[in-house]
Amino acid sequence: MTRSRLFDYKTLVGTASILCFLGLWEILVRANVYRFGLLPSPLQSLQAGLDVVTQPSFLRDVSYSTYRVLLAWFMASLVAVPLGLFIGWNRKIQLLLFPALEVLRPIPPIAWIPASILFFPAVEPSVVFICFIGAFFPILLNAKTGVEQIDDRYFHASRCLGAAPWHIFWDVVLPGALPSVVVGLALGMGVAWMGVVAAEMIAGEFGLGYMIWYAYALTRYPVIVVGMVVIAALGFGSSALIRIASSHLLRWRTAGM
Amino acid sequence: MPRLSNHMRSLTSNLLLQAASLLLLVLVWHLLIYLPALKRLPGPASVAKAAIDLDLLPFLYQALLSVYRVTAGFVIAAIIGIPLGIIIGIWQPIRAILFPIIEILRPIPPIAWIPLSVLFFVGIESQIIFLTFYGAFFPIVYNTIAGVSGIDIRLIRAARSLGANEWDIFRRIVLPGTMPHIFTGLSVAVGITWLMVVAAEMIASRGGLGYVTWEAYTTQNYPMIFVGMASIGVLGALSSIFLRSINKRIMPWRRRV
Repeated sequence: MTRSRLFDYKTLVGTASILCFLGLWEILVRANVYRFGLLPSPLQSLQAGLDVVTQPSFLRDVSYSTYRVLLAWFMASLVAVPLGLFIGWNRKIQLLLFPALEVLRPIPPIAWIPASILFFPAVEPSVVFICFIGAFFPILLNAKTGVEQIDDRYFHASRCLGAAPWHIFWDVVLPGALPSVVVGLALGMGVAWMGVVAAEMIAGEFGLGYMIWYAYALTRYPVIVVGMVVIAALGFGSSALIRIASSHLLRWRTAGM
Repeated sequence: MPRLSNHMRSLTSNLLLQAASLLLLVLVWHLLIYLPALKRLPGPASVAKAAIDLDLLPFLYQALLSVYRVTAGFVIAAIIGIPLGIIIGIWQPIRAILFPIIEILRPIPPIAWIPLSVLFFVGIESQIIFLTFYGAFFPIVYNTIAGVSGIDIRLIRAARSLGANEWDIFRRIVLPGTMPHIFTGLSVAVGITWLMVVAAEMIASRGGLGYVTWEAYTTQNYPMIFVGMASIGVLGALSSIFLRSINKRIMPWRRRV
């Protein structure tokens, strides 16, 4: 006898555990244990959430943040994927370009913020730049390692069969690196969301990070939680979308399994 | 002998290319300041001058402050996260209870926690160390769980049929098998802790390299911004290198690809 998936053991325990967690939080805030009384409670946040979602400023903030993340991620992919593939493929290019990039990589996107807001004429480019920097390096790195882990024999075989470099790129490098590239794209999306929150908190007008910071400044604390939840949902949703789209593209990989 | 000279020749050309890469970076930077939009950008020369003119002792103090915060958060996250991850990975009931909570909290960017942390914790240090802890905690736990789950069940079954008790299985199979994943988690965590420390210091503004960089921005000491960024990058890179050397020491059986 098969049980319906909705009510299976794991989902029940999971939901119960989350509810307990929320309940515990609520109790800690109500009872003012230690400094929990200062934090917003789940019910307050839910209430604030219902209020906020209907306001036009909310929609504006969501669209600004989403627009910035998507633009930055798209541009980063456009540059980092080909760059990473070539760096992984060709040793000379790697030696020429990679050290410079490796020197820049450890600098967290957030450390770029003062430089970015100072040197870009407007707010929009400076925020998008931070997200771009954030997404760029994971995508680059994953593209590079994606190519590096392709079995050498594919390269040897294709050369034996007389393939031109263009063929090798299209038929060996690209498909071989694709799984890793996809992981990098999802990762880059996540980092871009982190970057947008930080940049908007510090620099921004509009956007979810700005909404959170503003709520904090106006002591409307439950809205902070609302912002956090929305960002989490959007970040999670966009990464999930990438993975779903990629599983479509990579169907040929699991076909034989 | 001819093989040795060939090797030396390729070694020198490799080094030359890498050096050329770094020179290229500095050159591009130098040329960028001539762009009208970026005319406020300080060039490599002025940044180098600012670095040389540094007041060394106060700067080192700020750097050490950041390092302290990063280390404290990271170590606490490792001490709590690794055992927790192992327990969750091994015991299904605990996994069913705790994993959903972790999955729900994970998409929230650590930066979004800054306002709540400032509200809840009394001292600046505890606020910032909580944030670095939070940033490090999830990658560590998540990767540890993945490591434990990824151990081939046949190894455990084989050990059991050979008469191993639970402690032996843990010490000889689970622990070594999970180590690579634990280290992946630790490496990711190091990067995120630096990100968090810089963000927290920029926003909460009390000491540390993030604060130094932000203050350079507000006092319009532009070259100092880049000195701050570079120092953060250098320290971040050093932390990763340090971690990797420990990795090699503890897991000599893993050949680095």
